[in-house]
Amino acid sequence: MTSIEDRLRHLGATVATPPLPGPANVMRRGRQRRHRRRALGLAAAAVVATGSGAAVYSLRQGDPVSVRTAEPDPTQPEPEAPATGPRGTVEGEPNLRVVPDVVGLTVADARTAIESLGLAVSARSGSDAGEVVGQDPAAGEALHVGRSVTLDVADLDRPRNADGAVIRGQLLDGRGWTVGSSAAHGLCVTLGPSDLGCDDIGPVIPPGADPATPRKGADATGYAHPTTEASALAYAFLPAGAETVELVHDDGRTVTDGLVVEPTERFWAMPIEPGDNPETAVYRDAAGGEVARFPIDG
Amino acid sequence: MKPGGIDFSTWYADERETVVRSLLVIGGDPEGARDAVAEAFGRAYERWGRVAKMASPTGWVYRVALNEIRRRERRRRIESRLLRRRPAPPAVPPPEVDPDLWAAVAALPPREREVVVLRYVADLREREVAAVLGISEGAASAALVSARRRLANALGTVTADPPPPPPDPATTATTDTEEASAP
Repeated sequence: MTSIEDRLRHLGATVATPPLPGPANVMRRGRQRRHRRRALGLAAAAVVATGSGAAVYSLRQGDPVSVRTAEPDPTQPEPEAPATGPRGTVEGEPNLRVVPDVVGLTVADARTAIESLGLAVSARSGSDAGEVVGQDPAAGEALHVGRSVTLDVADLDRPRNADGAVIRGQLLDGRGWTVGSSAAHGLCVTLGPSDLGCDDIGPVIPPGADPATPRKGADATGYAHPTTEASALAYAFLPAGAETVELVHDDGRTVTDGLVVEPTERFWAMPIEPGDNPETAVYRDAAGGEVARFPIDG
Repeated sequence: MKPGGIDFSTWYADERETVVRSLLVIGGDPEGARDAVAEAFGRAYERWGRVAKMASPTGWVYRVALNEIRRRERRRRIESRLLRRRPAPPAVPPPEVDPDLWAAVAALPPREREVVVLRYVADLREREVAAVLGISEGAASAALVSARRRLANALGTVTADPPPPPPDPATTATTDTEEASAP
């Protein structure tokens, strides 16, 4: 009798696959993404930080940039073919429903998704515009029709950039992040969909402090999600007069490649990867002159 | 590009089939799986200097591709609800595939489906599976045990004897006394 494991391996080998783009096509796609970022005129600093390092991102102030939000491209056509996973029901159990994954959605969207299955919603706090940062039961678990899914809601106001867009971006591994603020947490970075928000990451600016106040050194930089993940978020606040940040190693190597995210006031952030640890953050003005430099503290 | 000795074209050509097969079994539709693969590998090329040096560039691609699929799926579910569209019926599995196993895998909870496919279809080690999904190794192990058990129960067959997890005095010991035995 063939084992489950062998059958799974064979299952993978026999699945019919759609035609895939060739290497040249994929590489062109990657180059186009890179050019699109550079064409926006952003001096991005890519930093790689381990769990103990701090890293810095920057974006030239005033650029109305919105790169890679956590939401899908609205111009993409809806896929026609249905997924092969279960569609909210449990086979053979007409009164059970599969709890959907709603972390990262607004409460309003989460309600729609959950209530349409015949389940109820119990939100622990926050308004319908708040973001779901946790759910119980977890996605994929079975629940009887009529029972409640409890939602943890991030009670955050959303700082917005000069164009009025909510500040959000995307880590290199695809997870979305947003910036929120509240009386309790101050200004903080939240990662979705499975992270717990400000309580998990910690405040970037303490409650009551002014985000526009020039900040120095370790206070000005930080990173979110301090684990050995494939990517994390680094952020910085620029001192007055500075418009860009670059990250410099002690041997003079400069890290300037990377992604860019929506700026607000003097807060900059961008996704990073573990590994490389620049030692110094150099802040430059619009002309490229050095405004300040600070060691990046671990 | 050839930093770190790995050539992107070769690596992509070697890996893309397995990645898309895994995504299809996890539950992406063919178009979604293809787009997720193109997007993930495109991003890998975009930053190939760094990705090539990672312990598992392929693991990174799985992570990005799964996020892409989840995002599309989430959006599609919301939109079909908002537009009061009837959810599409489940796709018929391809004929050459083991239909009972296909259905049993499709019926797994999402986390268990992902771990079992990443482990046995994508052939990643448990530690890589945990890293791709952003969960602890313990959670990945537990999900794998549960998934194998569910599949065995659904199919009335046995699992190969998995090695027991290393004893951890902080948790209660588990024994597979409930493993289904072959009829």
